[in-house]
Parts: sequence; C-alpha cells; structure tokens
Amino acid sequence: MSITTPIPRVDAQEKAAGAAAYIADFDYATALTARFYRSDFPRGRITGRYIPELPSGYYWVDHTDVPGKNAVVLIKDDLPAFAEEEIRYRGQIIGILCGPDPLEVDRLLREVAIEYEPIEPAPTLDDGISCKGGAMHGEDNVFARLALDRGDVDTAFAGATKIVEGTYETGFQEQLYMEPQGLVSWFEGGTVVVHGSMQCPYYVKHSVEVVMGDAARTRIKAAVIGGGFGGKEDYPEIMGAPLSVAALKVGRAEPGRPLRMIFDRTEDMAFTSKRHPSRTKIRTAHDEDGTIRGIESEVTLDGGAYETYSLIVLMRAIFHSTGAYHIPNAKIRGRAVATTTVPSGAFRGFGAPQSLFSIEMHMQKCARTFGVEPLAYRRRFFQKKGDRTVTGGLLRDEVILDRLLVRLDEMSGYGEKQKRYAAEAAERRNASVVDAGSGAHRARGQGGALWRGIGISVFNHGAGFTGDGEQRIIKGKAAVHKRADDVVEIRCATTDMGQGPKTTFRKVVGAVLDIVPEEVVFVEPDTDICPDSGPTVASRTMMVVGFLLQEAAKELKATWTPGEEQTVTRAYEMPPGMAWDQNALDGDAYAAFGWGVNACEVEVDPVTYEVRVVHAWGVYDVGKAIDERVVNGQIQGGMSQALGYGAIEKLHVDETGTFLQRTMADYIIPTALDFPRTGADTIDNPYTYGPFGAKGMGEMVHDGGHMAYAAAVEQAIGAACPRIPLVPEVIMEIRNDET
Amino acid sequence: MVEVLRPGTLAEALAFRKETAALPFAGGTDVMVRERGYTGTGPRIDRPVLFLDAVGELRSITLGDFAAGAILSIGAAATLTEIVNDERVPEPLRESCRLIAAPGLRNRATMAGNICNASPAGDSIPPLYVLDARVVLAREGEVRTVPIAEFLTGPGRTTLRDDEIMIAIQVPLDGDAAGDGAASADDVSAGASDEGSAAAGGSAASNGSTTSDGKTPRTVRYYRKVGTRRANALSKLSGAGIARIDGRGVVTDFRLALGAVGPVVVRVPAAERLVAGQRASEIEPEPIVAAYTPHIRPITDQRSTAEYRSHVARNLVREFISRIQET
Amino acid sequence: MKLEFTVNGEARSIEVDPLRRLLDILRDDLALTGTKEGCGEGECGACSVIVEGKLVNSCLVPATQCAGAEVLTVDGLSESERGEMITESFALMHGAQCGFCTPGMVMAAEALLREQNDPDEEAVREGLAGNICRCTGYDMIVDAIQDAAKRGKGLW
Repeated sequence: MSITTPIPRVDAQEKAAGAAAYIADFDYATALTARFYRSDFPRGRITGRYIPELPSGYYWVDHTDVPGKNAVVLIKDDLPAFAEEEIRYRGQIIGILCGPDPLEVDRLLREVAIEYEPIEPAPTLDDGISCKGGAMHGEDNVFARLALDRGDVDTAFAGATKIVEGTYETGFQEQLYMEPQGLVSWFEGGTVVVHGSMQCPYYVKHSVEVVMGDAARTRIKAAVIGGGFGGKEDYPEIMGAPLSVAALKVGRAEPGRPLRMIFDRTEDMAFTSKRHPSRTKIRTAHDEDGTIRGIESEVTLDGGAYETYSLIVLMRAIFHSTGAYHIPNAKIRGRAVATTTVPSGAFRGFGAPQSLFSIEMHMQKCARTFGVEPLAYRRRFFQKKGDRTVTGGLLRDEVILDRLLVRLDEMSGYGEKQKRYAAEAAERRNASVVDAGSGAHRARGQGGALWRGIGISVFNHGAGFTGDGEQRIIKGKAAVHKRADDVVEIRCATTDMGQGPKTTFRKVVGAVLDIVPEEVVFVEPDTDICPDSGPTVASRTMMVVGFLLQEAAKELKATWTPGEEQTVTRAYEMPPGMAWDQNALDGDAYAAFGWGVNACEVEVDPVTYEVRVVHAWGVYDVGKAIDERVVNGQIQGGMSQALGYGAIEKLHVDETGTFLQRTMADYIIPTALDFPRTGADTIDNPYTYGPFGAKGMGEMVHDGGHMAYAAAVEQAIGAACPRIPLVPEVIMEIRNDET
Repeated sequence: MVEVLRPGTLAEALAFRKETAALPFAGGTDVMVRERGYTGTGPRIDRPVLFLDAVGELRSITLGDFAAGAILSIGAAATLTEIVNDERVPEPLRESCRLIAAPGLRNRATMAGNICNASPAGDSIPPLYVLDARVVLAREGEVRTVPIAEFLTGPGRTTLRDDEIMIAIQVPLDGDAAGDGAASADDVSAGASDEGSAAAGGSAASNGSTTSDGKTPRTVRYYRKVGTRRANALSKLSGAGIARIDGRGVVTDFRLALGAVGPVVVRVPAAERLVAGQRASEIEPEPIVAAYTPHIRPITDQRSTAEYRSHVARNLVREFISRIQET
Repeated sequence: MKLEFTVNGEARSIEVDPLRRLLDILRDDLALTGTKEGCGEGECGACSVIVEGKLVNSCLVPATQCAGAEVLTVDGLSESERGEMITESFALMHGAQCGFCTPGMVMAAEALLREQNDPDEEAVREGLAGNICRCTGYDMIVDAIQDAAKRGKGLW
C-alpha cells in the first residue's frame, strides 16, 4: 500500500462522537473562573486604578504580581504581559480577575475603573506612518525595515521601454478557529502548569518562563485543539503568560487550585491577533514585448500596537514578493508599521498570501498592458531548477509548474473558458457603452446574462523556518519511543490542530517499522515528556518533524530489541549545501518550496455585484502526499479560507482601531453553500529531505485562492481589482470608477 | 432569579403580561443573542419573561374566509420552518422565510419575533408590506388588528403596548388573484388589499382566467435578499414585489417594498401609481426609479455602505420592472 | 426552577435557573461535553442538538423551554447504530479535521437524514447551512454524510 493511499482519520470518530477532550471539556471541578480586565480606551497613559473590594476567594492580578519580567516573549518582547502605564490599543490586558462564581467575576470586572490621560489613536496604516498622536514605537512607528537587492535595478529601469506600476492592498483576516482560545493553569509543588488549546507548547513554555523568573518551573500540556491557523501560535503566549502569573498568586494561597480561562467568542474575535493588512507598491521595468527586466516592490504591513511577530511576517512577505517568477533585477523594501489596533500576528501563510496577491495581481496588470493572455504571460517568467531566488538561493529541485498546469487545464478547462469569457466581455463592452446605471439591469433582463470570468494564480511557498532558523533557533528534536511491551510511541511537541499529524505521523512511523498506523501511539504534547520538536507552524510539521520521526524510526528498526524499552531521538540538521546569511538576508531562504496553481471561475450579478464562485481548483506539488485525503482536505479547506479572504471576510476598524465586525454574524466566513467543491490534485515531485519525499504544504493551500478569485472577477467586470476583500461594495466602487 | 411563565393558554399569557409587562419570548433567537452574557454567565434578562411557545392558540397557521377575502392567519408561535413548509403561505413571503438563517434557527424562530424585533433588515417584513399584511395584537379584553406599516415605527420600535402581545399575522390571499383592481390606495397603512376579487391561491406562478383577447393574466412575484454571504446571512438590503398584469398586458397592480434602506421598510404609493395602468412592455424604468430615489436613505454600518445600499436598491427596482417585462 | 426532561432517553430532574441555556445544562450540569460552544449566538451550529425531533442551537434555548422535552445530544446519538454509522463515515471520508464543529455537524446530519435518507450534495449543503466549519471547506463533510446515507441504507 502506498503511503499516499488514504486511511481513516485516526482521531475523527472520537471527535465526531463528542468524546475528544478539548480544554473546555476537562472537569477541573474546583477551578476558579479567570477573566481579563482590558482597557476600554484605545490609547493613553494609566494614571489611577480602582479595584473593587474583593470577596474572599476572589483575586485581582496585575503587573505588580509578575515575579520575572513583565513581557510576553514572541520573537520580540515589547508587549507587556500586563499593561503598566502605557495603553496602545483598546482591549490591552491590564489585569486578571478570578474567583469561584463566574457571575460574580463578571460583576466585579464591571466595577474596576481605570483613570487615564488619553492620547490620540492611530487606527490606520496611514495614521501609523504619519505618527498620528506621536510615535508609539521608536521615532517613526516602524517596527521593522528590511531590504533585498538583486542584480542592477537602476540599469533595468533606465533601459526599459515601458514601466508598469500598481498598488495592491489586502485586509485583516480573522483565523476564526471554531474552538475559542482556552487555557487552564495552576501552581503546585513549585511547578506552574498550563494546559490548553495551543499550537506550540514550547513557545508557551518559553513565555511563561520569562514571567516566572525563578519563581516556578514550568510544564505545558496541549489538549485536543479545535483549530489554529496561526491563531493559536502567538495568542496562547499572550494569554498564558499573565494567566500563569495569576495561577502562581492563587496557588500560593490555595495550592493546586486551577484557573480556567475560556474565551467567549466575542472576546476572541475582538482581541486576538489577526492577519497583517498590507499595502504593496510594485513597479516593473519591461522590454517592448513585455519581458520583465526588473522589479521594485515596497511592502508595508500593519503590525498593530506591538511588534510581536511582525519582523518575521515581513521577512516571509518580502521573500515571496516575486512569487513563482524569475526576475533577475530586484529591489524589495519592506516595513511593518505600528497602529492602535490589536497586535497583528500569525495566520496561515504568514505574510506570503499578502505579497503573493500583490505580485499576481501585478502580473495580471502587466498581461493586460501588453495584451497577452494572463497565463501565457506568466509562463514566460516561471522559475526553474538552477535559478536563483530573490534572496539569491539556489533552486535545487525540479520545478514542475508546467505539469501542474497541464493537470489544472484538464480539470478546469481554463484555456478554453478564458478565451470564451474574454470574448463575452468584449461583446459586453461593445454592446453596453450606452450607460452605466441602467446597463446592468438590461444585461440581466435580456436573458439573465451574468458576467462570467475565470482566473488563475501561480505561486510557491517556502517550507519550514526561514533560512537557517531551523538549525540556529529551533533546533528541533523528535523521538520514537518503544515501550517494553513493544508498543511504539511518537514523542514530539507537534500538535494536531486538525491538519492531521496524528494520522500522518503514525503512517510515516508505521510504514518504516511495518506497524499498522493505528497501533502507533501519539503522545499528547507535554513538555515534561516530549522533546522540543519546535512549534507547529511554517509548514514544517511533515517536512521537518516528520523527517526526524522517519529517521528515528529507521534507527529504531535497525536496533529493535523485543521486550526492551528504547528511545531514539533525532535532532534537526540542515540539508547539505544549504547556505544562509541572516544579516544580509542572503542565500537559501527555505530548504524547499511547494508549488501550486489555482483556478477560479465566477459569475458576477450585474444587479447586486454579488459574486458566485462557480468552480475552484487547486493542483499542487507537495513533494509526496503522505495521505491523499489528508492533503486534499488541506487543499479544500485552504481554498475555502483563501476564497473567504478574497471575497467575503471584511474586517474594518473604527476611528480608534476597534474592529467593527465583532460577531460571527458580522464577520462572515464561508458556509457550506458559499463556495463549490474544490477540485483538488497533487503531482509527485519527491524531496530528498522530507519523509517519503514530502514537502510542506499546510500554508501554501491558502496562498492562491484569493488571487485566482480576484483575477476571475477582473475578467468578469472588465476592470482591475487590486484590493481584497473584493466584496460587492468594492466591486461596485471599481465599476463606478471605471465608468 | 427573574420571574418566568410558560403558559399553555392565551388567557394565562395575557394575564401575566398585564400584571408584569413581561418580555414576550417566542423562539428566543433574537432575545437570547441580544441579552447574552459572557460564556458561562447566562442571558442578562432582568425583567419577567413570558414564554409563548407552549400557547396552543398561537401555534397554528389557519385559513379564514373573511368578508374582504381569504386571509391566512399565521400564529405568533408558529416557527419559520412551519411557515416555510406550509404551501398556503404566499410568495414572496415564504421565500423570504426560507432564506432566514439556517435550519436549526428556523426551527425555533418565529415570524412574529422577526416583526417585533423591528430591525430595518428583518427579512419577512418587506414581503409582509407588499402583501398588505396586518398584525393581530391582544390584551385582556381587547384584540386589535393593525397594518404592518403602522405597527413598525422605527428601528427596534413598534406600537406594541406594554400589556399586549402579538398573537398572529394576517396575510390577505386575494392578492394572488389576477384581478384588475387599481393599485394600492394612497395610504399604505389603510390595508389596500381589499380591492377586487376574492380568488385565492398560494402558488407563485401566474394564475387567473383567460380573457377576451386570449392572453392569460399573470402575477409576478419578486424577492431579492442581498445578504452578507450566500446562506445563513443577515441582509444588507432586500426587495419584495408583487405585480399583476391583465390579459391585455396592462399592469393593474404594482407593489414594491425595499428593506434596510431606511429606518422602516420603504413602500412608495406614488411610485406604484406611476406603473399601474401602463402596458408592461412600455414601462420606462428610469422615471419609476426616480420616484423611489428620495425614499432610499440607507446608512453605512458594519455590514454594508450607504452608497451600495442606495445604488443596489435602485437596481432592484429596475430588476423587478424587467421581470414584469419578461414574457 | 425544577427542570424535568429527557436527555438521550434518560429522565432527568435538576434544579436550574429558568433562563439557563440548554448548552450549559448539558455541558456543566449533566457533564455531557460532546456538545460544543463555538459562538454562543446561534451562528456556528457547534452546539446543535435535537429537541423534540428538531435540530436547534442549544445556546439559544433557555431551561424553561426544555420542560418536558426530549433532548438528543451527540453523546447519545453516537451510541446508536445510526450515530455510529455517521461518526464512522466522518473518519472514513475525513469529514473531521480539528473536530470542534463535528458533533454539531453529526447532529445536523442526523436531522437531515431523518427527512431525506438519500440527499444529494445540494440538499446536504442546505442541511449544513447553519453549521460553520473553518477547516475542511465542507467537501469531505458532504462526502461523509452521503457515505453514511449509502452505507447506512435502511437505518433512516
């Protein structure tokens, strides 16, 4: 049986039956309810605090209770665990109130009052850039600034016969994992324990260690996780650091008494981190025939109120800023700017969906400018084996975009439809030069003519941590452990938040050891038991951790001694030949790239500008699919999120930086009826340093749907669509601007 | 702990309502959301609650033959699922209910609740306007019937009195006949559906008898919900219409209601009169659109923009007219 | 108030606040944690249960309206032959990823299959309109429900 052949999802029946234990399902019978007290103003300096008198058994916890450093360590440590004086966004954590009765905690929270001197908020990217209300970070509100230079851009532009320019914008996106954030923490016997819904137990551990200082040792345990998408990469640290401080305070009075903090959806939506909004200006220098000689790209990310992850999100954004194309001369600039919104954070793709949108929409614009069919235009610049990337890295593996596109065309009929819809659009233009207002209803009146379009996107995604991060920072270790009864356990800190390692890791280890996958035990990540295999992020789970497990399993097989307990641990080693200079951002930014092509077909209603996605397809090179159904499930789910991002998931802020869409009724994600079945396929292109040839793919499936959608809408409405979400209101504006 | 009552009879319900001015609670799908507390703290309702779901008299959907014509009476506790499954419920009302939320919610939610919530975006309300529906309000010793447009006075505001509860919605079915009466009277609230013939029919298709020139009179029904997504969505705006065209191709009755483009549903008798009497094929849409335009005064909120609502509302007027013109 | 009702075939009698949500009664008072809270406002369907034969959002149903009612939760359904059929199909067809929406999906599937025992794709999607999933894009959930209908022919 091939490793690709699907098996039943190991944990799915238990989940379906309601028997899997998420953090809110644990019976912490004596637990106190813990809630955050958050600033109800967007920006200012705290001058006074009124805390109501607390009944016995109730606790108030704030920065004065932190034994170690009052900071949440997330790459940068500029976000305080509890605010002291400065408040930079509405909802910043000031304190924790906890006690036995949730209603009483709720009542007491409403009695807390904070005096403050207000400072003018800076809610938008432009406000942040202009330092409205004064700079909140450094002197210019810029958290991070990065540059990449390849070749000779000045000469390329000087010799260009045509320059194409565009500005592209992407909005916030909320992860909206179905299980709200939740953690339980207690202190007993010198150890503070945090148990809950988290992608990265060791990240939580590191952040809790910093606030604890010498006050406690730490142990972190993951429960079953109801979705993450990056949203449980950073937030469990932002939540867990202050919560562990409260657990310490309570535990000193009542040893072992757990604090339970389960977010209401409204708190989760309002105050957890979102995808960075972006604005990218691109200029390309061209020859007469459209050939791209050089590119200048300037990426600006809205980092929110604290830096947290912005530097590395920006890194990934600029490393993907030329997409799947070989452009020899490039000048790329990136910056992340402070605003008075919730700190932006991790979300599937981590900067890549933003910059890939920009380059793909720019390619659309170039194709239009030179009158070439969009895919044919793109093909002229596809990267191939032996090319250098925008960071100067060498593409060592075969690039199979052409094969992916053959398959995509078989599935979608892109080539034929593209021509047909282009002809329809041309006919409409000729027929309805008449008027803008009533043209719409006539088109529909005359046989219900919807505007049709098909679009395509081409992209790649670097798998694993940037550059030498896996070796220099993460140093991942994973183990296979054979018990005396010869049952094999997988021990690593990788969590299954739905992406499937409980199934696929078992398949990898089982296949090496000739054991039925279901008989391999997957130990729930626990920092007291499992080695630090690194965070569950960056499309590194299968390619990096899976490879360590494969290699450990091979060694266990070679040394297998029946009836004896054996542990084989493998540590990460950089693939041979890979080179990276972190200071210059030069070399192999990623060990391997996954590649993808998407197509999307739409109908736009000329009466309401509502868009129906008629079909969506995705074909990918993931190296080797460890389980076809797991991989297709990622493709379909990623497509749904990416289409949501491109089409409907509008998230705006008010004049203070507070989100306007606060509930699931107003922040809209796809239902079962919004998008059609995604046609999904993969083509093998095995990678030497991935298990059975597998490469990373968990984020790449969110990289292309929004561009294919926007490209399809462009064809349907006959106008450029440089920003998402492309909701009907925006499409109307674009149409009105055109006419 | 708040005082609650879940009576089995209307008499008990009215007595409790009079005594306590309790919050009427039918399906609860709006109340439980509006009054919700943080997870684990329960709803924050600080007044007595009167549950209406067990009141037998309020659960049924019945057809009555009144002097003015057939009227379908929808009990205030009938769920949207029951309404959607009842073929006697006329279009476009039934379609509007089918497009509210999702199965689980429709199994609890009621049309009475949708009306009493008095949201400008309430989905069943524009169809009720074009059907000239009335709501039946009861208090101890008194029942009054009020045209829908008089009942709703603004966002979240109705003329329901503190001792009253809504017990039913009356939907005239005579509008289904391909009669040749005049368009609605000036005063929308005057219950303009009383004109003309009494033949009833629940189907959305055209019906009526063949006239002298051999063409069949027809009724065009129109409903358009412009939601935030394709299912389980709240409305950005909506439009509901009914038009009757006689055997000569003349529009004899034209009614259009637009939702979420103002504090209350917009229906414009003057605009309707412009259409009535015209031959369907000869209607010029733009003057009609112009007659609606001053009444379309939407706001910008978290779901959409005033510009979009205004622009698309006028497109809906055009679309309805074009539907009338389709043969 | 004293709430007397039937949960998963078992008669129950408990003292609760009359406005307490059915969701909290199930999860906290009866320790039936299969039913999940995703949003608390009837938008996501994770808390779906069947009350008096009808699919409902248990976050919107107060205790008073449960008096005398028959309630079926995923904890009970999954022990029945039909429930096992559905949950098995979710594993076979990978209809669950993170799994948090899945108990609600299973309840929606049961409610749908009671009405239509061989639903086409469109009908399945209509039946799931109130159940939000962020992981799967729904395609494999549809597959799972159609697979259960096929393998479980005669059960509904």
